[in-house]
Amino acid sequence: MSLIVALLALIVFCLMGIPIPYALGLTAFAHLLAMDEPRLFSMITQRFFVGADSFTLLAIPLFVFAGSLMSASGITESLTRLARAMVGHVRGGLAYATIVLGVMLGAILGSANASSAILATQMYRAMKEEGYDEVFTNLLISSVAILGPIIPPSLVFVVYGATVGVSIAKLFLAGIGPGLVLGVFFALYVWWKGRRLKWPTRKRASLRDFGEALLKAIPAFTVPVLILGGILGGVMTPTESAGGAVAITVFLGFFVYRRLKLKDLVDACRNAALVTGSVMLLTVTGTSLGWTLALDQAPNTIAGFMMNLTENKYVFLLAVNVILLIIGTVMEPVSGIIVFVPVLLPLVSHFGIDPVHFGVIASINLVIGMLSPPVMEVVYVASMVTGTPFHKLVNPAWAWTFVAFAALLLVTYVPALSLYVLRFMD
Amino acid sequence: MDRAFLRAYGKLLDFLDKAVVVMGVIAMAGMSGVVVAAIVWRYFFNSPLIWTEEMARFLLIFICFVGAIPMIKRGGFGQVESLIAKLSPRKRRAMDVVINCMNVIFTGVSSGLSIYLVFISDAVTQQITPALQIPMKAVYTFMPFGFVVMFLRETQLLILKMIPQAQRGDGGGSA
Repeated sequence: MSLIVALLALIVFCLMGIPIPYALGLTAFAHLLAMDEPRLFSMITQRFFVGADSFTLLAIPLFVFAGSLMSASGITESLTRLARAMVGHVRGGLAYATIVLGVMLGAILGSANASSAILATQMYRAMKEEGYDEVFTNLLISSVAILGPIIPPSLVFVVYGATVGVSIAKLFLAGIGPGLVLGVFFALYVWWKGRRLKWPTRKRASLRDFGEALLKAIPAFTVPVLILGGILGGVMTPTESAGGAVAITVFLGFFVYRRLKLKDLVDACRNAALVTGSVMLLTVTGTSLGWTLALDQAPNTIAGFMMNLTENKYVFLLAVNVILLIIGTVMEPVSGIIVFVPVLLPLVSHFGIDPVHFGVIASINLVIGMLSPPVMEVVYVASMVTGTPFHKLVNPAWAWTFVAFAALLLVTYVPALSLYVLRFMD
Repeated sequence: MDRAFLRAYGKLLDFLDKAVVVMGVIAMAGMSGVVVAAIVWRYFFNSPLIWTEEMARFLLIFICFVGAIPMIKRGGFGQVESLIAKLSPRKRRAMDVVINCMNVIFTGVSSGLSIYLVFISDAVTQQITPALQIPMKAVYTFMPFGFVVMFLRETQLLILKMIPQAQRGDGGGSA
């Protein structure tokens, strides 16, 4: 009974529009009241503190900080130039260049909203000038931006790893394949659209231009190399690699691209501190709710309920995909991971699903939710930058959501796409 | 409610917001520096620093509870708006007041409980942190400080929503 009260309280608080960190905390208090355990109230604040006291979660502000510095340091501009030189000449070239740039940004940023804002700034005007439809351009940018939290580094994977106790290094590695699969699916959709819409072609970049663009972009690639290489080589923890990413971005910005100013550094610090305050409050209130749910044996109860519904692993995975996708449409990925993943974990082990693979599936699901109506957070960010009326983008977003969901099904039912690469790690 | 009081109250909170942002910038820079220093000392000087991890964790705790304060005014916490966006303006205003009441309840209860935890109960002992040798209580204090200021801001926002514009003059601050 107390579990039902908690679930209803969470749904009502969220749908009322209460800020999600508060909604999680209020639900934790309501849950204790429903369990007739108000004497444990002070334990909730104790859990807030325990939730914040984590070396692993330090990766969040550091990756946000590094991401905030990327544009100001000239890294994103050099990557844009390279992406255009690589594929700008084919039909729909700028659309493909946006996908290539999205993959590259995914390798240095961990956030969809940051990718969306950068892609919109770098690609929108050029695509509009070449005659691409504004709705298509906005949705392409938004779709590609969701690669940010899938291709490592990824804030969502950091939170999943910290919540579940799974190696973040393995999650980072396992995210590469699915991120590329999504990129290929988006490229196939662009190709299909391009055949119908007769987009213009551009002159192929000369070998010299391509060489110059590549040379300019090479220093930028040291960021993902340092992050992944440092973690996989056992030289650094994910948190330290995030610190390394900050150091190398500052170095590139000041001494290689010579674009970074002290003011940019302060602005990036401010942005990272504010974003971290918001994300961490969510994390700690989610931790307290997770604690009351565990106290009430919620994971076991829900696992028992689900097992009565199906004993088939594949049906379970399909159900999880649908449920998490729906959750993702109204709740941002970090909240979704914190609230729902601990509840689903007993089932994951019951069905023999690798927790790393499940982490990838759950994260992609929730991230696709950012693209889907009604909330469409990542589309909203793009529309704010491009100035396109948001309402124009709502219905056409379904097609892109469908493409992403198709890629997700492939990732779900072909675990090797995520896990094969882990063999090299072991 | 007295206009002058509301204005002063709003100004005080705005000042606290600005101060907190400055502290957040310093904490963020310090945290990055400490993590990078740990790597440099370990690999380049072959002499690991024992205090860096602890220091970085404490700065994260600071940013967590104190960095969240300015996000209230900026509307920076995620929320599900799809349903309330469909309400008529009048119902939306009423719902905003209800939401604000809930926000005040959460931050108020959390303030009270964290003050109790840190200053009244014996849960937080006179323990000294292992590496930095500072009282653990000092680190715990970030939590009540953050929640109390959040409570004050949420209360101000509630008052502003409940009092019609004409009565409160210039808006009682800039929220």
